[in-house]
Amino acid sequence: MLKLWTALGRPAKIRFGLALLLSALAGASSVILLGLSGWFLTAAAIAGVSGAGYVFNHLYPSAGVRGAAFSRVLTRYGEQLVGHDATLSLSARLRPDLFAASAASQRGFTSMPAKDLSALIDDVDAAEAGFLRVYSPAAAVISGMLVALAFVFVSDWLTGLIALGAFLCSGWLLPWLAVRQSHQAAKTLARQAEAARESASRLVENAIELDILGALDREGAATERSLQQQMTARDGIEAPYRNLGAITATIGLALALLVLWRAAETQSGIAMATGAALALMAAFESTGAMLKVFDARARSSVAAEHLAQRLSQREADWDPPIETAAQISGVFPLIASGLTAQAAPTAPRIGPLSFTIAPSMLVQVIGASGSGKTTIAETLMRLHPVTPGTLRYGDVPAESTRIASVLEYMAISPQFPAFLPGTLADQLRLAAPAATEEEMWTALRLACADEFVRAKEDGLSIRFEEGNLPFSGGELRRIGLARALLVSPEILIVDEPFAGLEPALARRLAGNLNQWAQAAPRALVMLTHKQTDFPFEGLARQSIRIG
Amino acid sequence: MPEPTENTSKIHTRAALRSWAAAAQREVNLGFLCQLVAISGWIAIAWGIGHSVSAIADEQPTGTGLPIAAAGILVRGLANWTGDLLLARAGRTMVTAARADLFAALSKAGAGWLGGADAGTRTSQIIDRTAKLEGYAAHWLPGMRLAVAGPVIILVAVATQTWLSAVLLIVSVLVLPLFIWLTASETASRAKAQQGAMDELSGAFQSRAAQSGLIRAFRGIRRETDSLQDASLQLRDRTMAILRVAFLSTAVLEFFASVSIALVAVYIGFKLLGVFPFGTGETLTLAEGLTALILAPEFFSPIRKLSSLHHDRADASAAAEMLSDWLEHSDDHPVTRLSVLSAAPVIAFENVSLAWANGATVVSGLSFHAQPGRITTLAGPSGSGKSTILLSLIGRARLASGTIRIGDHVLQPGESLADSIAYIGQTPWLMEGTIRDNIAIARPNADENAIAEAARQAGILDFAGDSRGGLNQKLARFGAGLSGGQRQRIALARALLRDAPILLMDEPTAHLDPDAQEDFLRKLKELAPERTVLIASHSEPLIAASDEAIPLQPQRTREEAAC
Repeated sequence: MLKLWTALGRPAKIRFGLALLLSALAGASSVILLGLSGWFLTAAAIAGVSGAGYVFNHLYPSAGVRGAAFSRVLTRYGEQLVGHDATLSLSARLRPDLFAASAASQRGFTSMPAKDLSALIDDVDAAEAGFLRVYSPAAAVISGMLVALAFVFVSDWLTGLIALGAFLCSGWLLPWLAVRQSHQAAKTLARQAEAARESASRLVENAIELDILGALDREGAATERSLQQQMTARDGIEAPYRNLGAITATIGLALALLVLWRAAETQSGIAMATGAALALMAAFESTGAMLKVFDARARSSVAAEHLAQRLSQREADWDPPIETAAQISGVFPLIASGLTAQAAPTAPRIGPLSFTIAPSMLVQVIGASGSGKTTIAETLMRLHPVTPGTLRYGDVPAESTRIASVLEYMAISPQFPAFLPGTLADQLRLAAPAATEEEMWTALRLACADEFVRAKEDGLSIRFEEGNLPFSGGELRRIGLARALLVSPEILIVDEPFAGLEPALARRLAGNLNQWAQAAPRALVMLTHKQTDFPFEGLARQSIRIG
Repeated sequence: MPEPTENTSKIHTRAALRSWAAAAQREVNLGFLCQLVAISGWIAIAWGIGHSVSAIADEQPTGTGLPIAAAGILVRGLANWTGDLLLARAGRTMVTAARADLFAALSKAGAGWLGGADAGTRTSQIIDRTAKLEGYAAHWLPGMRLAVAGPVIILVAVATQTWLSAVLLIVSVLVLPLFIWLTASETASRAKAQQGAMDELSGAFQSRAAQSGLIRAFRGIRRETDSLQDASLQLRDRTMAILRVAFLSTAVLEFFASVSIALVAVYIGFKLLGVFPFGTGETLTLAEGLTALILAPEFFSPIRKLSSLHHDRADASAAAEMLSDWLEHSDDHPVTRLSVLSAAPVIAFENVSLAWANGATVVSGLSFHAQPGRITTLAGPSGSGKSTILLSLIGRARLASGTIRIGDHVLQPGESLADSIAYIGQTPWLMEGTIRDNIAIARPNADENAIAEAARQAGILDFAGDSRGGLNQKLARFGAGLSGGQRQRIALARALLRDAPILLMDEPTAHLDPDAQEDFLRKLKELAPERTVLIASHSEPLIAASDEAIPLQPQRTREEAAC
């Protein structure tokens, strides 16, 4: 976890330190409260019996008892507040950094698969909770135990040594073993749990077929049984914790009796012994928390390791350093020779391809779905490394330019565009933060997307939510096109722009694109599964077939 | 159907919780009993230590003090362990009881009951939602009783030693609810707002992380990073303002717990010294004082757990509310299976409206004719009620209005054509066993030749040749390792073996690659002539290949539909 914290530039250093200190003080105060009370009572009784009641200095001990009580309350409150503040500050550094690193180093622009995303979110949650679940409670337990040990050592060094050994066992060794045992059980059970879940999900998916075959009862009962078995077997995960919890509490109490028994044997220092006994009882009572600490530590440190790994690469490895990168003032002519593209290091190679894109050209990349058209487009935009083969923007080799400077001149309108939660205007501002409403409407009109947007009551402020997009697939594609147009790129890449459109609308869109491409030095790259029927008069046409 | 009011839904939720908890009642009671025994163990420990210390201070032999304390330790350890074991079991029993109700409803109400949410949601409701009930039996039920019984027992024990200390403890606990109420009512509403802000931030991070590639393609990394950071810092400040108040309620509890222990200790100490300035009417010995001091922390320990118990209860109630609502809608229509039709029928829907079990309309005013020998496709996006239309043919959908005609017969509610139907879904149900077993479930009394012929026609021998055991080849659980195309060939073989006059399909090409899809469409054409084929799909090639396509519109959202 320290590695991750260091990678983030040690945020909230002072607050984390203060929270640790307060946590340690809170742990110590609880033990002092009981230990000092025990000592005070016994010493007071002995003094009272011997008639020395008014000679005995009762002010300091009783003030100490009250002081420990107040300090326990205040330090715990402070520790909770400061600890949460520090954790939230960490999160305010971690999340943006993670996003920036993953955005800059990613290949292509496809969205993160749901499974990876949920793993990432789990990691972030676990790593963020690390301090509050691991370091802070551990500090409280350890400092409390140190105070208790001090009491015991003052009372009787032999018992002190035994108590130290017992703490090392029950606070470190046994929890470590129990957590390991439980995690092993969890690992074996994970398969069983997975199988039970799959069985349930298959049952739901195939319910109609099973109903028709008259087998729904039987298979439902089988799934119910497997869920039940898995539930019962889960005790294997909990048993080590339960056993250790009982053992730890018993050890603490037994040690307290040992201290008293030793005092009886040696007939000395009963007041101190009572203090030590009560302190031990209090300290071991909280040692149970070490189980949760070890449990959380295992999860948090794996998560932190994953995140540190992600943060270690903050830029794409095919992006040259800013200082040495070549400046470009446009991408024309874009020259590919022997270019090969790969969606991932292990993915099949596409190409080699050789072509040139100059202003007023329509380049069609033609291939079946899955043949790698999008990967070619991404490679032209520098979203993948080029090897082998060469790609040049004018005289400048691609590998010596920054990705961001190429993206200034190129934009893509995907077949299935993705959107962020926010308004329609927010979607368009992603491409052009400073765009005015007028510019947005112009782009929407070019993309034949203005009519259906105008038909909505909210217009540009209509909201896009996760899993609830306000337009149909074909409409969204044209909004994606408007967004790409707002970049004012030199090369615009459009993926299947006419698929599923009515002929009249498709013709109008083709006309708009044609007009747009000739209004300035611009070129169109079109990814399609077959030659387009539209003439695109005035543009020089070139076709590249792949797959 | 009358809208369920908030009240009736609450009653249902409570009834459901009660009935599931009843299954675990014995374990809960025994577990609670163990916790009480553990408390008496603690009393023995306190008494034993008090008396042995007092004896040692008087330079007497420790007598029975130490052995009684030792016995108390053993009893406490054992009782706590057994109690934990029983209560953990109680939690699991409750979850199992709820799942049993769900599976009973499924077998009673059939596949139609699962409609209204996608398969993933339903699966997670069956597994994860029910799991949320665990804490109700394992923690909330015994914890609430212990929060009352525990302090009372300890209080009585303390009072037998020193009544004034008992009064001190009572006073502190009586003041407590007031303070908790003061802080809690303040925080509750803010905490909700806070949770909202937290979810929003998680959502903002999640959607940006998911679309990081898109954001980069538009050179928005810096902008979005900054806006994430701003949102995080704002959230931190907002959260801290709430936490300052929220943690006060725990701090108040801590305050009274700590201060009353300190007061008890100081009072007893002064009393023993003989310097306590007021007459209290009691003479204290060291044994009594120490016993009371050791008991005092145990007085607060069950009360401290109350706030985490409330989480358990809230989780369980939320789950029970959802589950009982779902169970509420498991219609108990007995299904009559009509006898097998002798020939492929005309299936006619005349102005048909269908509803889910909860009354929400899925399909309205639908009319079409599916002719024998032709492929009719219900074409529409997900949510347009395609599957529900298929369900209506097996008596598993609620017919709100209109008529469904099968040939001359008007299909009555609850009448099922299941025995005349072969069905092919996205992927077939595959079980552990041989390919032969998997085909044979379509017609359990089929003879060997019929199975072999169906397998041959479906093209199964192409991938399950003799060298690999032919039809005796064993399939792994859920057919792991088979391709989408291979699975659909098994489904085809089932349909061929069943030899039913009606063939229903639901997105049969969803998991097929282009080649397998072409192959499947070819086989489909071969099957069509002697059957009435009705397909639900939004796949364009499949729609293109069918003789007739019935376009369906997605229904309005459920809220609108309910108006």
